[in-house]
Amino acid sequence: MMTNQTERTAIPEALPAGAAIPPKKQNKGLSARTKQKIKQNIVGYLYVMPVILGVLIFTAFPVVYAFVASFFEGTLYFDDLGVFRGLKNYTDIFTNFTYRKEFLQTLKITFGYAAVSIPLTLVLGFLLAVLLNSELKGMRIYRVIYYLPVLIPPICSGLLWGRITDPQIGVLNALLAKVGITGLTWFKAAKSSMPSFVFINMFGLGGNMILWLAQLKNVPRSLYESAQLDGASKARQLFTITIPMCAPMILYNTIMSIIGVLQTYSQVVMLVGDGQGVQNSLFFYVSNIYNYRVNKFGYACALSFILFLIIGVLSFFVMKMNKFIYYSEEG
Amino acid sequence: MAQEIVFAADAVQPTPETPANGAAEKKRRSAAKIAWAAGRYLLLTVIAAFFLFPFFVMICLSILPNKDILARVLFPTSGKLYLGAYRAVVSGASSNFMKGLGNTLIVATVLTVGIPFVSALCAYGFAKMQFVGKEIVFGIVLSTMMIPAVISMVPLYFLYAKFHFTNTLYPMFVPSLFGGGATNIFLMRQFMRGIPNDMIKAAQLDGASSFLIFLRMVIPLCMPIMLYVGVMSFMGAWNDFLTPFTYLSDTSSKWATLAFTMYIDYGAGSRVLANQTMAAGVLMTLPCIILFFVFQRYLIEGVAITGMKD
Repeated sequence: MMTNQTERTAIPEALPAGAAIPPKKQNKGLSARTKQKIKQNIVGYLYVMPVILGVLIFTAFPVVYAFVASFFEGTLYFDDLGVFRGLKNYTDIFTNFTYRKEFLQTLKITFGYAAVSIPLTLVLGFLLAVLLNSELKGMRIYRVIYYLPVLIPPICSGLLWGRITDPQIGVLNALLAKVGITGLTWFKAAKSSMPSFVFINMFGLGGNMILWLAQLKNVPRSLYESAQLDGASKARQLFTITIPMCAPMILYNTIMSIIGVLQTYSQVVMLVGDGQGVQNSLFFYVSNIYNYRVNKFGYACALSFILFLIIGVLSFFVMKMNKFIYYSEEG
Repeated sequence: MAQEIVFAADAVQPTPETPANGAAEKKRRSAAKIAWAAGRYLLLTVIAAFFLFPFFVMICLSILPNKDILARVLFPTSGKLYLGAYRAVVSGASSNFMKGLGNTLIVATVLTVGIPFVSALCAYGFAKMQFVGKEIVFGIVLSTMMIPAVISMVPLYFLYAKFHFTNTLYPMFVPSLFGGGATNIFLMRQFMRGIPNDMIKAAQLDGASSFLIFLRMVIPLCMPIMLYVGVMSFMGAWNDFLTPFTYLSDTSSKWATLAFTMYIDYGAGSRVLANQTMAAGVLMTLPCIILFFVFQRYLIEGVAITGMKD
């Protein structure tokens, strides 16, 4: 999409280079044109100035600071980076026994969760959207209901689920007992806490459903009409029209999901504290960073840059798949 | 299961290979259509029950009297509606919730107006202005989406401490007013690219400055996406927990979501107060439900721009 734009801007620049224009006229034209161009540049930059400042102050500064700090021993004081350690914070992750164990453990948990939850939400969100994508009466209400769990403030939702699933005082086990299912431990045991986490996140499918719904509405009706004339079945239309047309959204959504899932933290904290309580089974990568950020700030920074690298590499691969994707008209 | 539905729909649709002939055929098809719609509603309702479950339990817990909280019941055992938890949250002597809610509301309102405007301003620069290095600047802005928020948390704390921002409401809205976030700028830019350049050229020929064009032409045309960004900004600020939790050390009185921290202690205390937690939760969820219901169309359309130019 971006190349299109650059090509367009490149055309006027190519014009003054044309040899056919007489030198004198060109000179005069150029100065006026240059003035115009300078003004254009200033105006352009003025418009985007807020975000440039924002990126410099609230993104570049912290990231650079954290990067520098990742080479120091690090404490929580602004003017004191502590003792310079070189790459030791980074090598520690892989050589120090405790750190390596934690690192691998959190990586395994985070990726295990990502591998299950991203495809699951993508597929189930799609099925829900297909179900709701019609002009039948009452769809507005159904959409609100399906989206309802997403609207509950996350902190409250964490407390709510912690209580609903509590084996002693929670209502879920009481309700399940009525249909003969008893003794589920939910977040109170290492074995069951990850499946429970995946389960309660299913209630957030509404968010994904909205993305799909939006995309389904974007697919031109004419495509389906002509496919129908050609005798393509609904299933065939699904795979040859709907899914390819939704591909850019799937790509965007997958990248954002990867970034989001790899940063899973607050939800876990609401449910089970810092995640270490249940024998590390919900001890996500970011928990590690948070836990170390006060006493071993440098090490926490090193960990967060490794995470940044992982996200970067994964996003790069997903972007690479971009070329298999069909973009409507835009090219 | 909805896979089946797609196939079931197939059976209902007329296909060229089996051209419809005769009234009997037509009748059979309309009957199938009704059956299909009924089945669909049934399925929709069953799934709706699933999604209603958490909010339903939340409401039930919020109307339990204190003595029923540990009883594993959904409704008051006395059979009478109990609103004491709501009273305690709204006007209780020790409750900071309403004060926090007031602050949250102020900040959320500032952001609901501010973020759409600022991100539209930047997006206008990226979509309709020509300047050297535009694509590079835009690329850098987009790449900030990929940076894990956790990296900047601690350095930003130092920065805010220098500005004397900690323990004030500034960290909750000042950063967002600088550009409004990469995602929003991206969305707005995608939307603005759909505005024909000829329209803007015509206005320029009439002598309008670029800012006037922005105010009078681009913003009105961008209303759907501005509404989307505004509503999303409101909900984001409304539900944010980690930012106030990190930068407000004097906790519960300043921010609504922080009032919940007094209930997180995983001990007996949180169990006793569960009805109050959930009452506060219901009060916080209601505005979002109303917003979503009213602006549903814009929210769904807004998301549609994410993937491609419309």
